[in-house]
Amino acid sequence: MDFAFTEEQQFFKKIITDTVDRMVVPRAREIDEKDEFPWELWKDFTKLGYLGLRYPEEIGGMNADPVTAMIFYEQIARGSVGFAQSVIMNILMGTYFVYRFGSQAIKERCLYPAMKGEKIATMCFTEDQSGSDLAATRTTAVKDGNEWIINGTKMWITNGPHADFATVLATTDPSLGAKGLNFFLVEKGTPGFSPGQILDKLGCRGTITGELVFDNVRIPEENMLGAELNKGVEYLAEILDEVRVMTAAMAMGIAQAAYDEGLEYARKRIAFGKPIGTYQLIRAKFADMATEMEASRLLIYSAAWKIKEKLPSRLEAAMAKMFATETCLKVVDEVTRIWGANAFANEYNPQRHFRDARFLLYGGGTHEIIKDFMGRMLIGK
Amino acid sequence: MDFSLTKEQKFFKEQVSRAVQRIVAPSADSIDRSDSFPRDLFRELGLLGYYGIRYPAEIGGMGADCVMFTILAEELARASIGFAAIATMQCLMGTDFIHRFGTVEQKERCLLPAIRGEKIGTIAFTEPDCGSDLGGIKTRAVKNEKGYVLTGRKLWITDGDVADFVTVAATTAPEKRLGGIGFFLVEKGTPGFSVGQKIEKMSARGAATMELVFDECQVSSFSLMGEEGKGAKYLNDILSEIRIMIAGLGLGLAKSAFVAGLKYARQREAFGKPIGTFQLIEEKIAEMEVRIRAAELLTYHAAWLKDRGGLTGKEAAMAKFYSTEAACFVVDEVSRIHGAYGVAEEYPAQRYFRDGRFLLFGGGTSEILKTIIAKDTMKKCEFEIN
Repeated sequence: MDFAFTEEQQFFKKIITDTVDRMVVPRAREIDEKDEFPWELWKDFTKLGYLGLRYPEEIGGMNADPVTAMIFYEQIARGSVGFAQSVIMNILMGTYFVYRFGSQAIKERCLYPAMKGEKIATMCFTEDQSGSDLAATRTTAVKDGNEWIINGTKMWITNGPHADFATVLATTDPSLGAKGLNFFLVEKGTPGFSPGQILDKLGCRGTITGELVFDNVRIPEENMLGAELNKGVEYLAEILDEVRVMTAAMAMGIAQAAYDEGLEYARKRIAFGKPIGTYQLIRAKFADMATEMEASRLLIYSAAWKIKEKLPSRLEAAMAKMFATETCLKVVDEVTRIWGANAFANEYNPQRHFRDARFLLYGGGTHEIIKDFMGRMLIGK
Repeated sequence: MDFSLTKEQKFFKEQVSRAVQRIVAPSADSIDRSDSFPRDLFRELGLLGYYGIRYPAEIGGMGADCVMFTILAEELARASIGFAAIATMQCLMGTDFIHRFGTVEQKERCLLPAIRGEKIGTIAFTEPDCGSDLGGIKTRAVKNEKGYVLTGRKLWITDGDVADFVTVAATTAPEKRLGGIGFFLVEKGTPGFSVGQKIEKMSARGAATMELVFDECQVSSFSLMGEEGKGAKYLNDILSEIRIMIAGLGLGLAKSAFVAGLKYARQREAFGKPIGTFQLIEEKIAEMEVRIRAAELLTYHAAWLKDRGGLTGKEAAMAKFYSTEAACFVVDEVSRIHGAYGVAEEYPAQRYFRDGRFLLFGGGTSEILKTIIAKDTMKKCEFEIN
C-alpha cells in the first residue's frame, strides 16, 4: 500500500502545473470567448513534446505511465478545457490506432508529425443517430479490390473540421452490429472526405467540434487499422479505461480551477461585516467539495494504477469517470452559488467552468450508460 | 504508487475475516435482539489477541499498524456493529490512556487482562448536556489530600453496565474549558461510582450505552492519567485514529448491506424477471458500489497516512464523514431494494438500516467534521480573517 506519487511524478506535476499556469491559464478566457482553434498557443505548447506523452521514447515520446498521464490531463484541463480537448485528442484517441496498427509509412506520415503538433488528429465514432450504442453505426466500409470505400457522416468530432487525419469507425456489415466494426484511417485531401457543419456549443469552446462527411472515400487496404477484420470493438476496449479515467482527470482540472475561484471569492467578499467564507453554510460547501474531490482523485489514481499494472480496471475506471465528473458538476454549481450574481457575469470565470463541466458528461459514456454497465456487471446478468 | 494490500495485510484480512465470520457473524442477530453484552464471544475474540492489536508484543499485543486496525474494524462491522463497537472500544479508547499513562500496577490490573479479554474497559466523556463540545463538561475533579474527588454524570457510555474500568473525563478548572480537562481511571467497585439508567436504542444493540454516576467518588492521585488540564490534548492524539476506525466500521457495514441488497436483487422477481435487471435497481447498485469504493479509498488513505506520518486532521475527518454518510446511503438503498422486507425482522436489512445511524455521532457528527475539513481546506481564508 502506497498512496504517494513517485519523485518523478511529483516533479512532473510541478513542471506541468507551472507550464499550464504560464501558457494556458492566461489565454483561457479568450479561447472560450472566440471559440476558435488557438493556433498560436497550439504551436507554443506542442513544442514542449507533451503530445507524445504516452508513446515510447524511441519514436520521440515521453513514455509516461498512466498515473503520470492523469496528472497531465488534470492540469491541462485546469488551464482550459477547450484547449485540453484538442491536445488530448492528439495524445490519445486520435493517434492510438495509428500507433498500434499503422504501417511505418502511415506512422511517418501521420503519427510522428502529430506527436510534434505538426498534424492534427481526430477520432470519429459518433453519428447523428448513434453515440454510446456503437452497434448502431451506419457509416459503411466496403472492400473493392485493394481499396476500402467509406460512406457516411460523423458528428461531434473533436478537431474534426481542421484534422489532418481521422480514425473513422465504420461497419463492414451492418447486420453484424458491434461485431462488424473497424477503424479506418482517412487523411485530409482524400477525395470525398470533407468537413460539414461546425457545432456552436455551450462549453469546451475553442475545441472545434463538427461534422465530417465521407462520400465514396477510397482509401488503400493498409488504412484499415486493425490486425484482424471486425475486431474494432476489442481494439477500442484497449483504451476505453484510459479514456474514461482521462475524462475524470479533466473533471478534476475544472473542479480545481472552480474551487480555487470559490475560495478566493469566499475570502474577500464581505457580507454582514465579515467574509462570507466565515459562515458555516459556505464552509460546509468547501468541506463537501474538498472531500469529494479527494475521493475523486483517489479513484482516478487507483484506476490509473490498475491500468498501469494491467489489472482488471473496467469497473474502477467507470466509477472514476462517473464519480469525478459528478463531483465536478457539483463543485462548479456550488461555486456559482458562492459567487452569487457575479457567477453569472461573463467577466468572471465561474460561468465558464459551469458551462465547461457539462461537456464531460458525454465522452467516455454517459452516466446512465455507466450505471447500467455497473449494475449489470455487479448483478451478474 | 500501489493501491493493493501488502501480503501481510492480505493475510491478516483473511485471518480476521475468517475468525469474525466464524465467531461473531452467527450471533449478530441474537446480539441485536437481546441487546445484552455477549460475554462468551467477547472472551473468545480476546483469546485471539485482537484487543491488543495496537499494543506492543511485550505486553501481549500484536504491534500492528493503523491500516491493520482499520481492517479489523471493517471486518468486525461486516458481522455486527454492536459487537464491533464493543471490540473497538476495548482496542482503542477504553485502554489507550492506561497504556500511555498508567502505572505498572494499573497496567497489570486493567490493561493486560483487557488485552486478553478478561476485563472490559471503556471511556466516558459525553454528558447529558455536552458531546462534541468537550470543553463544556461539568463533571468535576477536585483535588484533596487523598487524590481527587469526582462528581458528575456521564451518558452514552458504551459497555457502561459491564465495564471493569472507565477512563473518565473531568475538569479541575471549568473556567478553562478544554484546558481544564483531565482523564481519570476509575475501577468498578470504587465507592461513589455507580451505573445509572440504560439508554434503550435502535442501533448498535449489544453494546449497551449507559449513564454513569460519580457521587463524591474518591480516587487516588495515580488515577489521573497524565497531567491535569492536558486531557483534551491526549484525546486529540488518538482522535484521528478513532475517526479512521469509525470510517472502517462504516465501510464494513456498507459492504455487508450491499451484499444483502445484491443478493435480494438477484433472487426477487417482478414482472417476470429479477428486480436487479431493472435499470432503476441497477442504478442503486452502481451508486452504492462507487460510494463504497470512494469510502474505502478515503479510509485506507487516511490510515496509511497515519502509519507513514503526515496525517492531518482533514484526511481522518474526510474519511469518517464520507464513509459513514456512504454507509447511511447504502443501508437506505438496500432497505428500498428489499421493499417491505426491508423492515421485516427475518432479513438483516432492517438491522443494517438501524445500525447505520449509530456511526453518525461518535468521533464527531458530520456537521462537526465539516467544520474541521473546512478549517483545514480554507486555511488561506482563516489567515485573511485573523
